[in-house]
Amino acid sequence: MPVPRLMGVLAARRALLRRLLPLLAAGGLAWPLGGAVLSQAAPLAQQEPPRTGGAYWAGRYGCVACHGARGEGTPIGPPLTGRPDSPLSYEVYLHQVRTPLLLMPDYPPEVLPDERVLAIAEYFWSQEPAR
Amino acid sequence: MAPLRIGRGFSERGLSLGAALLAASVLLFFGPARSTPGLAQTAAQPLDAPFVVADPSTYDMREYPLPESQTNPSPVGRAHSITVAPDGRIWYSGLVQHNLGMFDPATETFRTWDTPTPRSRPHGIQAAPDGMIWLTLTGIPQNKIARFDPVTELFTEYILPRPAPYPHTVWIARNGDVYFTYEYGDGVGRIDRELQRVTDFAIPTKRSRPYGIQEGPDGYIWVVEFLANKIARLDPRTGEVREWTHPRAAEDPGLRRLAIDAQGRIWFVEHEIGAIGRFDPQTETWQSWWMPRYNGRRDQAYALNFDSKGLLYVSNFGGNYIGRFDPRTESWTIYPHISQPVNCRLMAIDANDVLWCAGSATPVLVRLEAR
Repeated sequence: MPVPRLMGVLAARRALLRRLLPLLAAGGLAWPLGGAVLSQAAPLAQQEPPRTGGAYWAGRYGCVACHGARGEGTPIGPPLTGRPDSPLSYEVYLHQVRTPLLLMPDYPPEVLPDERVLAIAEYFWSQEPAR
Repeated sequence: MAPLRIGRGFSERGLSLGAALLAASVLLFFGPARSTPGLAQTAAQPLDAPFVVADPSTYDMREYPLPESQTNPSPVGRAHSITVAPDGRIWYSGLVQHNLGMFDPATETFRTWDTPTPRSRPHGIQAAPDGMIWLTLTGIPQNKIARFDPVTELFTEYILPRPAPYPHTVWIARNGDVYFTYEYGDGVGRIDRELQRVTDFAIPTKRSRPYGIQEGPDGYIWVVEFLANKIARLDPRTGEVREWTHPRAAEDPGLRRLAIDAQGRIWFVEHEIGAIGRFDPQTETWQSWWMPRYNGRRDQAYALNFDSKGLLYVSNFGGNYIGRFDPRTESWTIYPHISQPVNCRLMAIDANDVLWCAGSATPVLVRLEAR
């Protein structure tokens, strides 16, 4: 191997090692043993999500349990993604929540107020339809 | 009539007020305010509890990758709830892969069985003392319970009389009766031990989302209502259901799952805010403790289980850890998960106090042995 190319390979390896070392030092070496993984990687700093907004209410009222975390649909709930000018308008959401078709449970206004239904609809409208 | 004067001119009312104030001051200063029923009702904010992150030399945590189904493969959600059978084998409900799974700790091997009903979405799971594995099936038509015989490897499915009540968490009572919550049916169902009859019990609150369920040492069946923030008690003899509302229900703490201690006190998670709580049916008092904020988060407390020593293990999604709460010292020990995020669902503790749970965000079976 020509010397310049060899030096380049070694430099790339050193750079890779520099990137990996902090991870290995912080989290310990992940090492498989008997099919099991025994040690953890360094955690990523996070913040608690707000307890409001469409994404939160969709989880709190159980919408995502049947319709998927982003409204993509599951075997027990149809997809909900789409624009507000799609057939899934706010009025359709509200009607379905109050007097549902098929298996969906109904939610009275004192349990799920109109403004939260709108927030949930806006959340699912903002999601990309499943392909 | 002139007020009665006592001593140097104190009225009877004034003296009583002074005595009451003095007694209250003494109680507040010296007394165990947290266990005083009246104060607990009005000052029910969760208490801060000290915590330590466990020294790695004091525990062993492992993750076993869950097998992907050949018929319904899924990258995540391969397992949901866990139970330990009398023989020590670990069973799990394959919510997304529509199967039942088993892990044998002796050989560290998995096996799975597809349910007879396609797209069945097995959710709750519980091993009975006779070794039978009971499952709730939340797939359409959302009204089935299944029993799996590990010897014959055959499923038996039971169709519930109500349309789509969404049978959720299952619990086997000491007499062998099978109880389950109807998450979207505001009730509790029971299959009697002879498997000849299903009985439904209504929970009065509408859209309460009955979730965790367990039999107490008092013989009552206890349920937490996730959306209504209530605890319900079913008397299996009379069918009477009584509810207690959490004192901070207006703050929507989210009572999701429960565990009952040897004294019959009901412990529960406050899922939405990241706390645990305790309700004492004897005194009808409540107390809560925050879970530790680890890595910036403590929200989404999920399942909780007592070990044989009375230590309470709690899974926390937001902080991505298993916490162990010592009710005697009111302090936490944190066991961080290996993968991120794991989201351990319903857990189980085996006869050796080893904790098992499965991640719904990362497809792993978690084994935690704390020394």
